[in-house]
Amino acid sequence: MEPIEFNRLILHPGSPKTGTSGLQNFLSRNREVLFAQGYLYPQSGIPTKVGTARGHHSLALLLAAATPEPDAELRAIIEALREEIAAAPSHTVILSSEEFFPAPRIKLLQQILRPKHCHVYVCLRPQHEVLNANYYTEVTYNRIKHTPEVYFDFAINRLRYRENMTAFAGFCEDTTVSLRIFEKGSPVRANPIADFLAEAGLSVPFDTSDNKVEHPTLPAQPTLFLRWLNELEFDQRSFFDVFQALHKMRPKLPHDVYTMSPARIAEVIETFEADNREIRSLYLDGRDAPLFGPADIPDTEQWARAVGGDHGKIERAFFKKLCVLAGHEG
Amino acid sequence: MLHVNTLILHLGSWKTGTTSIQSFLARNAARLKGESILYPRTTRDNGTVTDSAHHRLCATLESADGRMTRGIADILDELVHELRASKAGAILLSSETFMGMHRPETLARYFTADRVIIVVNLSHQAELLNAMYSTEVRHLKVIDQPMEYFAGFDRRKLNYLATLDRWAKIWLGAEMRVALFDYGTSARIFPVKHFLGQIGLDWELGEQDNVIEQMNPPAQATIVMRQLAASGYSDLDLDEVFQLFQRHREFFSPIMPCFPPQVMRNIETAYAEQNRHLVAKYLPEGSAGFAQLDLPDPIDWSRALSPSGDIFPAFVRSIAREAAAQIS
Repeated sequence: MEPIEFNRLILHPGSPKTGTSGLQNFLSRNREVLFAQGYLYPQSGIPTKVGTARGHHSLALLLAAATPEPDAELRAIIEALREEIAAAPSHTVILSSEEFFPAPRIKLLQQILRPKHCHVYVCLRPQHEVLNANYYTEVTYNRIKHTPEVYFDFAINRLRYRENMTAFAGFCEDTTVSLRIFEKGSPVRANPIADFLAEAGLSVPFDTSDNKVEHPTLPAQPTLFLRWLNELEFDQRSFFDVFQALHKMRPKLPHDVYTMSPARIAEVIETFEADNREIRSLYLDGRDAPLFGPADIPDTEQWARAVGGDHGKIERAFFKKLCVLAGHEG
Repeated sequence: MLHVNTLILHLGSWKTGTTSIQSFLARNAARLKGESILYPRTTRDNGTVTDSAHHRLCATLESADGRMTRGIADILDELVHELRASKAGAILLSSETFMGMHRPETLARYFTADRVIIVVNLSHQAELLNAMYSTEVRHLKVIDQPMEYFAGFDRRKLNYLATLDRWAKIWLGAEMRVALFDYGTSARIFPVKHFLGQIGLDWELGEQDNVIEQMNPPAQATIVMRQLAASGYSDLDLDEVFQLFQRHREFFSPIMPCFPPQVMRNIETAYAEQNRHLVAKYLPEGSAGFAQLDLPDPIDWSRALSPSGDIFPAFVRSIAREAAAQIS
């Protein structure tokens, strides 16, 4: 298959849990404004399913599943993308999906796209925060039944920021990387859309209503409660109804967000310390210093009281809490 | 062997206000002594927990199966001691587990009496099955679905006539005081007062003595409890949720039977003939039999209870929605 040749690509490969859905929906809503300014946010590769973020997830996920020869569905998306790009040859193409984040997918994307220039805009979030937020996502979207510890044991091996950064930086001969740190107090966390627009040199009007968190993470207790519902094999409709109700309750729920124990957080930070320093040195400011600010680790005793390792206890307590509130006893 | 002037045995049966009656008797043991009736503490009080009924005594006697063991001898000694100290002429033992004894005739090896009064109140077999399911889900953490439970149910418990016949033969001349625990009967309206009447006491009682201690929950609540039991809830957690459900019966459809109305009706039909004989044989002449069961419409029942696998998810959805409306 012939690669698609064009002038310039802005690639936003996430990472996951860095405000990507909000940004993608914003870019999709403003396709025409962007187009008028010389930027193409292609429609090809965006899932058609209602309720899904308007990023290029279909393309990325088909790459993930690709065998040496792309299948018919992937070929169709590539050809549609080729046509869109050919219709606007001078435009800069913007592709965004956190599903592009793993290095093997970037390497496959390289075989399809041949831009002369590439600007990779990538946000990195502390690994322990990503693991924690991903656990919530896995429970609520992929309906996993694993307890947090089992999930973390498995998922930690999939976090390969250093390897990913190498793949991004080598996307084409002329590649520049904007590495943004997504942590408390950072500009990208405060406003992911504004940060992207500034870094990409775009001028698209937006207001505060655009800056909304599309998938806020629920605190640990309701997350573990939802995991229990997965174990009980709740049907999708029932699960979604409960999920929505818990989100309505979110502002009034306890704010103990971490299903990950403080000890585990410290362990994760230590595991990635050397990698993170290297990333900073190579892609941020050349300094040999921690990539992320000091972690906000919960107090061990407080966490043990609010969450702890006895998930059954949390699930039961949360169920009772719902009954009490529903009975107007709370 | 223990000899008493009068032995009063309250056999239950199950789900006929027995907990309320037993709690009342335990609370009023001193007043009963004044009437020359001992409601023994023996086996009810194990040093840490005091039961209101004689379930442990029944279990111990059942396991001895007529043999005189050291344990039984100790219990009988203790009873003699209590009886002498009280100077009572009658001893009253109460446990619905007597009703389920495999060999009740073995009791005659431990007790003799000049006069024996056997008190039994009976609920409709189909209602008993339903109430037993609910009780066993809560207390024994039964995780069978209702029809699985029915398939494994010990049918002897429903065979009232055969059970009463066995008890009537143990002590010749025993007075059988049998009543039906049916809608509109005094046994159901005020179980404690009715029971006292059965043993010849006409005490002034207040509404505080007519507390239903183990009210059956609606069927949906039982099915939800079954799910919680299957999820490993402890006794304490399950009890806490049960109390909450009792306070909020509005969470559930008011339909009571966990079993399909047709199954309930079939049970009623299956025991109708036997029940007629029982009434003729053990109840005062002219007594009415069980009234026809008042069952929900099958379509309403199906809407509320079928399939049973949908009940728990629907319940969680409903409380989550209500909790969200309440908190936000």
